[in-house]
Amino acid sequence: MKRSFICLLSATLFLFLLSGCGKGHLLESSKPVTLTMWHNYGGDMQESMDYLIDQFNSTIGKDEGIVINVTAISSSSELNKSLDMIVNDDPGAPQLPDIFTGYPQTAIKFQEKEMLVNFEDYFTDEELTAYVDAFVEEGRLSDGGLYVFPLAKSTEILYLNQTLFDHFAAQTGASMEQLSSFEGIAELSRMYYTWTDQQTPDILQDGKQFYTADSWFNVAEVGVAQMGKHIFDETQRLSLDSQEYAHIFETVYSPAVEGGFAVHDGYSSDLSKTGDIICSTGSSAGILFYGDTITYSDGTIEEVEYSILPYPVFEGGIKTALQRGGGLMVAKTDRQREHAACVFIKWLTASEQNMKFISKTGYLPVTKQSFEKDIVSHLENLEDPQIKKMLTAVLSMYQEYVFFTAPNYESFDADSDTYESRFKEILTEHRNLFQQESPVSAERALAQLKE
Amino acid sequence: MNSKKQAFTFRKKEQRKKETTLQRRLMFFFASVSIFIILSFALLMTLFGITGKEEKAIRSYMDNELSDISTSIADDFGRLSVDGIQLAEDLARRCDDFFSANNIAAEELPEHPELLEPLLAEQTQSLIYTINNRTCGGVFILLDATVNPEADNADLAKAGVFIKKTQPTSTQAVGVKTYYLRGPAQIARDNKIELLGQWRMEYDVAEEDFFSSVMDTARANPALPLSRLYFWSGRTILKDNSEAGFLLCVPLRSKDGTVFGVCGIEVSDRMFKSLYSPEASTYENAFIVAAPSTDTNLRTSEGIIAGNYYLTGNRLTEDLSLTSKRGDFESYESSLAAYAGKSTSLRLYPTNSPYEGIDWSVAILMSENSLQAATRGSLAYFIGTIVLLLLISLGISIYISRRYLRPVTDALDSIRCQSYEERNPVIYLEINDLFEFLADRDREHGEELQKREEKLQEHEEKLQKLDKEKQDIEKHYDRAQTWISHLSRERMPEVDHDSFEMFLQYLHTLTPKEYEIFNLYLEGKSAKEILVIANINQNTLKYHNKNIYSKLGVTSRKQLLEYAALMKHKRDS
Repeated sequence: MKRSFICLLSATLFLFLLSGCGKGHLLESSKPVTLTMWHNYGGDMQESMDYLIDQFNSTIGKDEGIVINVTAISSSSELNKSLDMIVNDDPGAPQLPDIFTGYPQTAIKFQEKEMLVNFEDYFTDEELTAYVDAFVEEGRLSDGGLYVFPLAKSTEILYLNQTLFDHFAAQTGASMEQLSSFEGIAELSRMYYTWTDQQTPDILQDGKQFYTADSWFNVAEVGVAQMGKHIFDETQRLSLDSQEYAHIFETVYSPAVEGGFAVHDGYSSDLSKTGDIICSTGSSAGILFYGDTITYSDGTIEEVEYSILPYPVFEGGIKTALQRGGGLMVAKTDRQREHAACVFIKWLTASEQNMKFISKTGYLPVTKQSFEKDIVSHLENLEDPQIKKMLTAVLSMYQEYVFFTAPNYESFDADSDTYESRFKEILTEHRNLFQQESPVSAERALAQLKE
Repeated sequence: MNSKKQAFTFRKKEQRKKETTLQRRLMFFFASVSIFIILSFALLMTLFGITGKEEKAIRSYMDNELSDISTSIADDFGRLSVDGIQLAEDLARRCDDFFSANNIAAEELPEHPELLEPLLAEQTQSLIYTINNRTCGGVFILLDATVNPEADNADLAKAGVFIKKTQPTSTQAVGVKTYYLRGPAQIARDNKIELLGQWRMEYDVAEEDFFSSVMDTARANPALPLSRLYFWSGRTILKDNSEAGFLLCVPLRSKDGTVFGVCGIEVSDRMFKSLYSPEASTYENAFIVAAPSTDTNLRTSEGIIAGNYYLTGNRLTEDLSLTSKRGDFESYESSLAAYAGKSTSLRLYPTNSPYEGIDWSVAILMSENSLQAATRGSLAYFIGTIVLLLLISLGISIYISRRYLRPVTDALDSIRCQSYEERNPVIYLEINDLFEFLADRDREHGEELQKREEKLQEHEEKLQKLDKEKQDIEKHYDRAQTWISHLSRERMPEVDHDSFEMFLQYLHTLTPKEYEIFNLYLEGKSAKEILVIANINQNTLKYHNKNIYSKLGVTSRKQLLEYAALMKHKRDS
């Protein structure tokens, strides 16, 4: 009897210890660990992210003892500023959150200081193979570790105000085919400027702009890639000396100074909404910012329809588009917090949640299951016609295009920002000179930019 | 005889039925005690209301959350009201300066649409400052004028600016992203604010009439200060916008008293949720709602809720009617759902405000089903626990009774097998004592038996000796008889035949007692032996002897014995 009692006691103790081991990484539902999170899914995308985080906190999070607390939602650039302060240990820098969104370029700085979790420590190879390989590869840094986990990806597309374009095409004979190349767009922009200028013969040079880009750096970077070159040289420095780049510069410069291309500090959707442009290239995730009306300065509102077209290609180039979209990074803290963060990320990027997120935001899913299978059937049930239109276009692009990912150089952000601001400055300045009838040649402008 | 036997058997059976084993009785005793204690405990818990622990916990949770959150809401809304009044005063002053600079009166603004954009552009910095330095979802200004007075819907269009931010509760640690919802696009571009997808240049008051009553009230009460004229709208969602909010509306009044617009601050859905959600780790279904109210209604269709969107959604589309009060809990119903919880009033307006009569309430609610499930769950848990305890106590009773009685039953077995001397000692002293006692008794019995056996042997030996003696005596007796016969034959000739004949003839005259004594003489008994055997005294013997002698004609016992021997010899021969 005594022996059986001891056996029973031992078995109970063993099971108890075993159950303790099963908890793994010390997560306990009774003592939840709260993880802070910063993300850049603001505006109309915020509700979707809020919903998913609520859902996680109420289900898996509650069972596992994990609470996700979003402490900052802002633009990527604002988040980057704060993250820069943190990584540089600037005075007044905020505390690094447990989970934050960002680009690989940001991750490099943190990884150099060993402040990031390598997801390979928490995801098995089998789990990682469930994600689109290219998206995973984008998050790997120089040591081969995976530091930026794919959450939602986007590419760049051409937004076209079909209503205005049709009206313009009917009057001028402009063709949709011309929108497939930047050269064609440049030509159309000249036509459009002239045509709109002619609407008010009594006012000179009041033609309207036709096209703009959310990022002129992306136009240059992808354009060079379309022509088989890299805009960064082997020393990771921006190289603007190639013939390919010269062609791109000239293609953009002329319509920009002549008034066909808009050079604008904000997003292209802002100009679209006032009918100030006809088309623009920008992130596919920007679809929600486009709306379905344009408002003129006199308060008149016109209902319009947008078309989503593949990213234009420079003549002679191969169909190449930028694949972009940040990912999630996890700060190195302790095993418990890191594990908890990875549980959340695993849940958030699983096909079911990922599809919910993309169907409300316009991003692309990151798992192979979602990307290759679920999304096709999901398209039919999408409520938002704009997102449906955009995803259809992007999926067709994935059949025909080569996708280009920005290199993970530490100086990438600074170089691209400098290029963007300098490029806009020169174009704005030369546009003014052009209006003052003191045009500057493209060669001279390029030389100025290179300086 | 047969029926008696049957009755006996029946009684025996009945008795066997009443009998029970020690273990069963002990187990029954333990189980009874355990069950009694557990049920008493349960009864006490029920009597003192401890079983309603969950209900008590919910009540306590709701009390605490409602108290904390309603206080926060009252404080925050009060602070925002003050901020809104300051903003209105600041904007009105700037607008007055603008009117002066452009040589117009405030009331002439609708006639100068070309001035609207520059006027709004001048106010935008104040709005941006306010939004960046307040915990709020947005700020706005709306003017009673439109950029296109000639348009068909000019009376429904109002110029203004509405700026929102993604992170209402920004800590300033991370830059705040602002978005432009209403206003001239150029102002947004100039201030580098991104236009939302739902951006419109002007307000459409056909669907966004949150301000006309504020302006009318302000116009009707020119003597009241702004601190009495602000108004909190119910949940308002601007056309096509995805996010709703409460709008603090403060009239814009120029120095000449003209009310020319409204400005204010938004408490957005998201801000309300992030600031006032009840602690969700215990009851994820609980949510806070702030809404205009009456004594019997919560106008939740105009309210905002803070809670878990995943479980509650972000709004209640219908008003809730107070249906009953169950203890501290209030029950509310709409045609869609039933809720229960607690509420408290929210004071938004000061004394003398034209809006003083509009009541607001803050309530903490959860669905009636959730509340009942939590309470039911508690009862089920309680009953389950009691049942489990009873089962455990029964198991323990069985185990303990078996374990406790095992030494006793072993002892009884060993007594049955009489192996108690070789048994191992048990833990019970009484049993060990009993076994020692039994062992002692056993030893004593053994010794006595041995003694008795020895005695028996001794007696057997004596008996053998006596048998031998008896055999010797019988041999002697036979020899004596033989000798007597022989002697009789030899002495016959010497005997007086007449006397002998007389002896034989009168033998039958002896009395039985005399005959008994005669026979005893013949058996060779001595006088002393005859006294004992016949149980007579010596005188009596002498008396009988005298009679025997006289009747048989003998004179002595020697002669008597001689004649008796002769008689026997004669009979034998």
